[in-house]
Amino acid sequence: MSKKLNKNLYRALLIVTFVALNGLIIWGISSVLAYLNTGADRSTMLHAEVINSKIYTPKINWDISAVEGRPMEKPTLQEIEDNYLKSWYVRNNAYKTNNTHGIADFYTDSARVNLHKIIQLNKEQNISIEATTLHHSPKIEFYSADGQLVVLTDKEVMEYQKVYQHEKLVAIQEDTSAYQVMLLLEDGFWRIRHLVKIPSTIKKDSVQASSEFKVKGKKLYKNGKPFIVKGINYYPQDSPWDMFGDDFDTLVIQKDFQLIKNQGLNSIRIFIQYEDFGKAEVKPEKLKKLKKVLDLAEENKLKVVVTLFDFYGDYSVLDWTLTHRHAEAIVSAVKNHPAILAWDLKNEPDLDFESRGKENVLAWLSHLITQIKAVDQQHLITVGWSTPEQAHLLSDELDLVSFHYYKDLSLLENDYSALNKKVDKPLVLQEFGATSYDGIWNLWSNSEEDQAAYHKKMQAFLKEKELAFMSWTLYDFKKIPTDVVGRLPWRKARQKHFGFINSRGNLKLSSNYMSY
Amino acid sequence: MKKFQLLILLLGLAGSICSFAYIQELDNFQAEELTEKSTFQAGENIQLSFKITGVEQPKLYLHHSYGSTLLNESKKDNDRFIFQLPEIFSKKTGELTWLLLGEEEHLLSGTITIIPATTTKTQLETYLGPRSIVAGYEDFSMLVVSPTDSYDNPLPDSTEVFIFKQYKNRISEFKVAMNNMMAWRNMMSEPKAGIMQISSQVNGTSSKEFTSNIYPSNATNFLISWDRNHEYADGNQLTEFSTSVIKDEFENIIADGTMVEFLIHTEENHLLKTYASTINGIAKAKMLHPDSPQTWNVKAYIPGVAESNTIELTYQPILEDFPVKFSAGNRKITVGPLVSFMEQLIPDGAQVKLLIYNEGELIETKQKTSSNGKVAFLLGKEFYPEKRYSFQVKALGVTKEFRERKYE
Repeated sequence: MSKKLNKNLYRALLIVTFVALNGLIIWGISSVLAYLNTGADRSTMLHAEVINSKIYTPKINWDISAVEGRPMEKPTLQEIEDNYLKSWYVRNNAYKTNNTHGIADFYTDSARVNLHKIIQLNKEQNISIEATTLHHSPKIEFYSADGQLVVLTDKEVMEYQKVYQHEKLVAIQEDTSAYQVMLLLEDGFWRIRHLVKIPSTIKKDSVQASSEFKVKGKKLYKNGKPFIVKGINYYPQDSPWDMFGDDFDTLVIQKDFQLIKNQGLNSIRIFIQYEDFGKAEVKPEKLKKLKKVLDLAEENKLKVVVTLFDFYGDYSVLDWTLTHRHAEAIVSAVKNHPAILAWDLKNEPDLDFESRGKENVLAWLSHLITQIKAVDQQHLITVGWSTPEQAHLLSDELDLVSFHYYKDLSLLENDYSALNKKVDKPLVLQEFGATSYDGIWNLWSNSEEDQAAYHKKMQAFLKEKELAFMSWTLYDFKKIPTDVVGRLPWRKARQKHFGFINSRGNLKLSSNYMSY
Repeated sequence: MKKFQLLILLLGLAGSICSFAYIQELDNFQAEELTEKSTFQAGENIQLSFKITGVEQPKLYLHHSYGSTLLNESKKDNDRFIFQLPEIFSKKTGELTWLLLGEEEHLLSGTITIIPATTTKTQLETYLGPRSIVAGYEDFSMLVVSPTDSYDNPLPDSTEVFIFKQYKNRISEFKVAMNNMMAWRNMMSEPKAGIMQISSQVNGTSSKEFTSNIYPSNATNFLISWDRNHEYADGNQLTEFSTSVIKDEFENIIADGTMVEFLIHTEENHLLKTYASTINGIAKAKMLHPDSPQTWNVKAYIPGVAESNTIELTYQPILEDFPVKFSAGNRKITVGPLVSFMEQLIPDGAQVKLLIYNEGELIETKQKTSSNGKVAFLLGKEFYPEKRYSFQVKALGVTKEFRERKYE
């Protein structure tokens, strides 16, 4: 009996080994073939694959008013812009990684040796420099008759550099310099031949435009009268965290806005998801939907706080210019809309401090403020900090200080007065709320009554302090995307029941305490 | 020690020109820039020295035209720190921004300017284009000269650049000042076609010679003439058409190989075309004589550019009449002998047409070419069963008619 079992065991082992060995051989051959095939991609011979999607989009203003030699044609200018920006991109990338990949495409033989030498030097010293340029103002000085040579003066190169040595941040430098550049057309690439840094002559003059909302001290004024934001964070019931998606329905939004207005509120806060809107190349259809929402808000006399970045978490220096174009496209598209109250740069950026580095996040926010102020000086700017402890950050550069509060109400008084002492800007309690979920995951410990009690207490506090607020949220949601609170069912279940209106569309008890 | 003395001397000299000194006091450390010179020549040994107290390990961050780096001091003497700029930074021109870093803080910042090393040997990069231009007063080749010092830095603005142009027996010289890292000049074309040679010179360094070809400009209108062996419409000889010498507006003979198109209007309103390209300004094209007497109108074109006069050309008939013989019960019709203008048999290949009618209706046209001056048509009984036929014979522009012949 045991002999027979042994024999079968050997047989099985033999067969399994045989199959496994064959599998291994086939896998080996196929990976060799796959490797050999990669070289056969013809597009690589023609450089056609070189960085063809938008990965570097600093703001660029061309001046072609006084070109010597030959008039500049638009298509050529487009090509020069593309190649010139890529030359900065590959340079920044090379200094970050200390690898000269791509330099050869955008610098001529004699120019690239300079880069190679400095990179070599940095590599030996273990220095790496993360850099980006945020703004360029090139003026074409000369364009040769045969179309092969261009000289330009880039009058305003806003550079941001972070210097690391032995992986430790040593310095952050920010300056505006100017460069004189000679480019030659070689093998279809405009390549840099000469690059000389020259003193910048740009003088900035800031013009303060008149606006509907003004901040004086700790108070917010609308057309000269004190204005207290009484608002709510809004998502439609059926499309939470996807307001501008396929389920976009103006009828639903119109009805919701009416309801919000009738509850005595004057503002809403909405969210723009970074990838959903198309990153640097913002999709026009999304902007259309956004405008529609603003129109509806205006109809219902609601003011809107637009959160520009939701679901964004990169912050790396080389990604900056993309986010700048995203913000710029949205802000400039709707900045003249009368419903806009403020731009909320980013929802709860302080949650990324740990994973992305506090310095990175703050630097990104600070530059975003500059970018937005460049296109719109009329509207207020704020950041939706997740806790009052972090809300003092950047408060000098912001118009409103917004914070979220989900801790126990008994601590609010202290937290509020601590923050109020630290900053001298108007405060907005931008998110707060309680869940009415009572189910297995929290052992039936909450109830609609508890939620109502929370809001009652909160409204009393808000009234006492005359504090601006935006509650979370209008509806109980039926489904919560995984990106919001993760996969865990007890988190999702909790998140589903923060609304003033339950999933069947009926007002909950808490709806009596939506405003004061 | 000697080096140190030299440094002091240098500082003293530079100090009389410019005197910047930055002093910044922080909590417990102090930094002061000791280098007073702020303009250096590329390739010069550049050292920045600072008096720093309270910082163990200061670093100097450099930001220059082609990139940035971080330096440790190269020499330390008590509280005096000397930073030696790497060659790649001291050899390139432009504004160099530096930032002195303590452990946590920025201690000082400033800029120095590095100017081109004009005393070193100048290198020239020269671009000429386009290199093929047309004669006249409008077209030009553009010369761009980009002189650099021996470290490949563009020379400063308003450096003088000399440009030389040789054309036939004339050599001209121009002086241009550099601006925006280069100097440029449009080298104008000349009214006579030829070769223009161009060179440039900066600070005694000469470029190599560049050549620009001046080609003749566009053709102007021209005349045409003909030449033929005889005036007869024999369908055999060739008539040659030729143009006058075609020139541009500056009397340059147009470029060889220019295509000329000859258009011939025949009497039947047919359009015949023949082509030729020019050699030394003359294009010669040929056309076969017509095989019936007629008049041609001929005009030549260089399409879109120029045209000729129109000439009229008449071809004479080669025969007045020819014999036609009916035999074999009228079933064999022999045309000929066809004799030409000197009573010679016409060359083989002349076309002869026989049109066959029955009761006034055309039933068939037969066509043959002559051989030894003759053509024979056979009308088989199987194909032509009728009792009566009448005929027309056409050859070389002559038509003969024959009334009804009877058949069995």
